[in-house]
Amino acid sequence: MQHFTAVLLTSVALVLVVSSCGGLSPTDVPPPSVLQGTVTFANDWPDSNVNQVLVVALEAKPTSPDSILAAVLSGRAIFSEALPTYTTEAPYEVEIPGAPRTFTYVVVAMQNGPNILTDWLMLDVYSPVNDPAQPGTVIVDVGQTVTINFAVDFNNLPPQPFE
Amino acid sequence: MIQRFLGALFVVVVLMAGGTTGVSQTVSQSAVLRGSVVDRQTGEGLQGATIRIAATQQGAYTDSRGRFSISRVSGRQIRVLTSFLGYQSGDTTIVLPDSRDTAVVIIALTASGLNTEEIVVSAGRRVQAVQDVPISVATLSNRDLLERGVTQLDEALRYVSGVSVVGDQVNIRGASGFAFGVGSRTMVLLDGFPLMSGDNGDIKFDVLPLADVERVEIVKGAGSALYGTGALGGVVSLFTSAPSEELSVRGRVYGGGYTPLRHAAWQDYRQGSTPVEWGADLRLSQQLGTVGINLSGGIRSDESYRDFDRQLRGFGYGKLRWTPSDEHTVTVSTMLAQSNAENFVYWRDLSNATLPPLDQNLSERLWTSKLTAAIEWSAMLSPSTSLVVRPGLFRTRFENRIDGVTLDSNASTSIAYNTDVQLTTTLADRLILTSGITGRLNVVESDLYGAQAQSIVSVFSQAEWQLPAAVILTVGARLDREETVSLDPQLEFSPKLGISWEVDADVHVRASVGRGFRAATIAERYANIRYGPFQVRPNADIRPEYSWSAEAGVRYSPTSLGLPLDVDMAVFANELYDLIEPTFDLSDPRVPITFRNITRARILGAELSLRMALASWLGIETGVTAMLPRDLLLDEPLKYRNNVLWYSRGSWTFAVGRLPMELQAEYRFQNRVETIDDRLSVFIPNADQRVPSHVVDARLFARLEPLTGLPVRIGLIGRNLLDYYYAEVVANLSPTRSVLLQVEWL
Repeated sequence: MQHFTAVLLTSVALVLVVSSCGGLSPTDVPPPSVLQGTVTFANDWPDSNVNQVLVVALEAKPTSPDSILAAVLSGRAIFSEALPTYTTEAPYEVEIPGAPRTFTYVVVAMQNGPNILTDWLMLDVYSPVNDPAQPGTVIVDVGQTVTINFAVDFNNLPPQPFE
Repeated sequence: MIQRFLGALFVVVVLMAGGTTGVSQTVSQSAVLRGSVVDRQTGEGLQGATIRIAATQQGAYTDSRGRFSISRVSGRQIRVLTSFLGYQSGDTTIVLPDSRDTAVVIIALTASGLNTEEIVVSAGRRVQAVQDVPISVATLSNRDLLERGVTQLDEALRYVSGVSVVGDQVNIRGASGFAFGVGSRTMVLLDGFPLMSGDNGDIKFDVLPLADVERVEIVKGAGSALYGTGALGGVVSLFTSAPSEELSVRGRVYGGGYTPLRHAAWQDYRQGSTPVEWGADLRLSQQLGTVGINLSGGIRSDESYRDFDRQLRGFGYGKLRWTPSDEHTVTVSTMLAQSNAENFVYWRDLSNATLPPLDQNLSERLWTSKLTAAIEWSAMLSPSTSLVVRPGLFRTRFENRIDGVTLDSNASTSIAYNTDVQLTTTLADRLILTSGITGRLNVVESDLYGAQAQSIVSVFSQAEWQLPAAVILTVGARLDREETVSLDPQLEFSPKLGISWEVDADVHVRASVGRGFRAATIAERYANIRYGPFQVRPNADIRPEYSWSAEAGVRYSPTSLGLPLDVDMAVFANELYDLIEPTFDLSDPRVPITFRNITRARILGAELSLRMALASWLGIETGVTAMLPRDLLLDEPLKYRNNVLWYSRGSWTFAVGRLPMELQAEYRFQNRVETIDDRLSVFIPNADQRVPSHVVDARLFARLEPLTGLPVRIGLIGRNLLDYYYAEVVANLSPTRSVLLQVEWL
């Protein structure tokens, strides 16, 4: 009987120790992963059809204008809040859910028409070699803040991915 | 389509009834065997014990007083096999004094301290010894359910080896994952009647009359050869009690609450109050002449361990059994359940895991109603031939309401009409043939799915041969024809092959292979709704998903060790094809969600179960299931599947003064789910936060009868005693620690 009691108590203690080592906790929330930076705008904004300007981080380069929204809705793209327009400089900050995430096409995009599916224009593309034709890959780890600054030149827009 | 469906069934019923008339005329004169099964030590009747007459289809279950009756017993000497969970089996040869007489016997069984003895199951659509079944089967008795203090069956299923429950999805050996409550890959039956809703094809646990459930059997592995669509991963089959010979009144009340949470961030919303849980059950049963009746009902209230998750539900069950003669039994049963619940879908984020999202309308309620009505005609056409005809319907309705007003865009009513005709016959004592036809018609009227109909008509047959050297060979097949309004008829052929071998009295070996399938539900084919930011679009072209499952196992139950021991080992493989899953349609500019056949998967695994009584007062059970679930298309672990399930249970009986007491403890471990759909994290904060599960439940019971003379038992039930925080369902904190006091009138 004593032997059994000892075994029982040991087992219970073991389970208690094992289980108390883990479990979810509100403090388990990982620190936010953030993509941030500043967008500068050079030369004149278009006179019309400036519906909204966003920073968009896509896991894959879009193959058509409507695939941008498709990527957003399917969780394969993240976008910022609308940036102020007709200004020379605008900061942005995007929280990246589900980090670590890898984005191969990070752009400043403008909706230049009423159709949210098709009316998109790329204003600048992130490229570590300063060549918009060679988009760079951005990896955002858990808790990491990645800074990317964009320089939009309305007189010299990058090649559009759908052309 | 409905007329054709009913017409086909009518023809089949007539054919089967006519085909057996000749058999019934050849029945010889015979005796009635009546008696009781009692505990050898206490003399108390044992409810739910199984009595089987060897080499026949005849058998019975004892009522709440331990009594039974078997009619049309033929022969001078009969071998009666008796079994009951927790007792050593009985094997008795009875000599009838006169073949016309009624024989009365009392069979005393010796308690084994654990569920280590042979039991009898009906997973093969007929009564048979568990070691004769070529596939793994687990069972739960009425006692198991009551002692756990469960309020819904899914709570008890979590402690069955190889079974996990995610939300309302029963996952047997990894066959199911997490599918947002649509399309169960496990079939659930109540007294042989399917309880899958006609629209979502899901399980409605809250309609099951637990107080009346006598046994639960869990068949692991594809079971479509006998049960058709839905039995892709296995079958959960419930059997209700027979009416008691004398008036039986049983009741239970319980109440308790959730203990404070350790983390203030989760606890603060309670503002110092304690969420309470309470409920009551009442069951009446009596046989009056040829008519027996069971009535039961109950109510459940749960304020939950988190905000916006309260629910109130009530349910009732009635069964009327008429036995006009020894050969015929007609049973009419009905169930009704209603619930009104707040609708906690997922957490705000992990820091606020007990709160719903900020955009949740807190006035919204989910109101559900379920109704079943079924008739069963059971005829013993001869000592070797039985016929069962079982028509019925299952109506479900759910609707979202805000301030009591139904949201038209989120309501659905479905009626599933089911008919089942089965003939079982023993040929030359060595061949048992089980054949039948079933029909199902799902009719749906819904804002979500439109007006839809789906019919499935099936024929099946299974033969079991008793071969020399104690080998039983089982061969069966089923053909299902599915048709919907917009889809061409589809045929599914589900064969099975099994073998069981009694190596000696201690060792039984089994092996089986079979096909399972699940036809897409109406919800998966025709859902056309907006769900948050998503548009769900119909896809009527979904094919049935299917699987091939194979298993080999050995059961070792030594009789010479001096203490009860039962060891069961199995290895299994499950090949899954065309699994239906919700996915984004990226080819459509609007990127709708549609259900598609996309996944090909393989699950390899092994399972070990051990049950033993270390002494008459101490028993242990443990079961480990190890699995390798693999998505073969993505070449990665299959989503939402565990690799390890481990359950352990111990029970210790002792006495305090004159009070008999029992202490039970259970421990459940599930490893951390390796992969989930990463995209959920984009839309639901911290959806990827998950940990292994370590859950300990414990119960202390005392029978007050020696002190009070009343058949009363009280129990103190602790659930998740360690207050371990985990998430079985994505972005949903699982139940935290609660303590209940339960009083039963037995």
